[in-house]
Amino acid sequence: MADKVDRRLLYVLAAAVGIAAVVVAGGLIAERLSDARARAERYETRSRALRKTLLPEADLARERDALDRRVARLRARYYRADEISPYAFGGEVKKRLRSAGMTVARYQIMESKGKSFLEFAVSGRARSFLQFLRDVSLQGKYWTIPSMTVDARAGGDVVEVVFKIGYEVIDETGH
Amino acid sequence: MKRPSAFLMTRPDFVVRDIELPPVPEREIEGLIRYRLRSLYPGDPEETAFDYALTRAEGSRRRGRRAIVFIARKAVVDEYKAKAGRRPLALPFTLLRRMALREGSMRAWVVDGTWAEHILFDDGAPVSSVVKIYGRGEAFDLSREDAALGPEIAVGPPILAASEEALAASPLPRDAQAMPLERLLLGLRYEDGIFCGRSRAARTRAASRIAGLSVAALVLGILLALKGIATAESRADDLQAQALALEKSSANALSLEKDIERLKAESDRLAAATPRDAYLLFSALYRTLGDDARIQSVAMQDSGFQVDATGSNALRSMERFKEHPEFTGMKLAQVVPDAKSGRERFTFSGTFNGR
Repeated sequence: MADKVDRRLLYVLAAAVGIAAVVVAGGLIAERLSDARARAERYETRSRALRKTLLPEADLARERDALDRRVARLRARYYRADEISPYAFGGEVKKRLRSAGMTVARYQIMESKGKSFLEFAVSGRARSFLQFLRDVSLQGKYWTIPSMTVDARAGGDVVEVVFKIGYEVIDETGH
Repeated sequence: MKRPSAFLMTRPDFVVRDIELPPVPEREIEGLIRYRLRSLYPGDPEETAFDYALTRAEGSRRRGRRAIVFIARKAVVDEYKAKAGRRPLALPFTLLRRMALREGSMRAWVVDGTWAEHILFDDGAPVSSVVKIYGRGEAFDLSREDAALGPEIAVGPPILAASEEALAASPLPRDAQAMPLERLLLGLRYEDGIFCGRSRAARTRAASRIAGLSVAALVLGILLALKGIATAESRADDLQAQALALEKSSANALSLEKDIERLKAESDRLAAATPRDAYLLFSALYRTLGDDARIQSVAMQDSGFQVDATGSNALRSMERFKEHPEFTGMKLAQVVPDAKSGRERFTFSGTFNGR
């Protein structure tokens, strides 16, 4: 009789342990499942939000490259500080004036607001001076003419011109 | 008096046969006995009920597999079932069987008023059964009945299973052991009862099957749950990788946007710093004044300029300057018509925005 009671108690204990194990395992499984689902939902929401705001990277890269090329092209039209001096620049201007057929009466180097300019007094045919201006406009670097007086009252096709001419310099930072 | 948990049927109502079984699967035993029923019991098989109990312990090779078959008329069994209700039905063999399996060899008398049965067990299996029926005025007497059994059956001290009342009324021989019938009936398990619809073996098989299926279902459930977890975690990992890739892409896009803004600003600044082009000014002046005009002098300072010119119609020229998008702030200062030539000498000033 005692054996029977002991055996029954053993069965009840085993059943209780089994049920407890199943409940604990079930709880752990449910917890892991719930965690995984919550994680999936969180990342799905995040991805959805990112997709809504995401700009096409390839298009942006193309636009950036185009702007980069444009900036490089614009910066290439400036002289670097060590690339030229007022004397070399004056020689180049003089050469181009003569090449266009203008006669240089006088010229001088001037400083204004930290920039060097050359003031030229020249004469020649109006067409020749326009040719010179065209050369200045089409050559690769920026040459600037801040002031100029052209007098064509002498008659014929002859003009007398006094003008200031300089060049644009850019530093490493682009200023 | 306590109500017994099992219902003891009258032994003489049953024919009990000990049969040897051929080596057939356990599920076929019932069919085999039914097939042999006519040779075991004289009644109409259709009107006959039977149950059986296997008497050889599993794995024992001492003797062949045997079964004790309990046979009675169906009507009798139904009557007992109705009387017993939910209680298990019992015969002496079913009451003693577990004890015999424990004890090995033993013999016992089970006495219930008008009848008594002596069963001799050897190695847990019944080897002899003697049934006695008592008429009016007759009563069970252990010494007399034991003596009648003969020395080959009455071996060793007997167990006497009878009601507590009967046991108290008659003194036992010194070597006999008394066993109250009420206690035996109370201790009988339902699965040890007979005529319960299924044999014990079948019940055991069903119980084992249910237990096996439950374990299999549990294991399958756990495996499925683990698979579900693996799938959910894999999906979460994929989505995490996707989100990280998108975040990286977004960071790249932001960086590109910043680059674009910086380059646009620099491009705009460089474009705005483009020096004014004197050649463009002269080209625009010639085109706007027309072929009949002649420039006498030009004074230019940064974007501002002043021009002395002669032409046929100064006002028409000024109209054209006004329509030109690159000239702004145009002012006609003075116009002096020349009566001889019919032309006009005029001075105008303004701002040129072309670069």
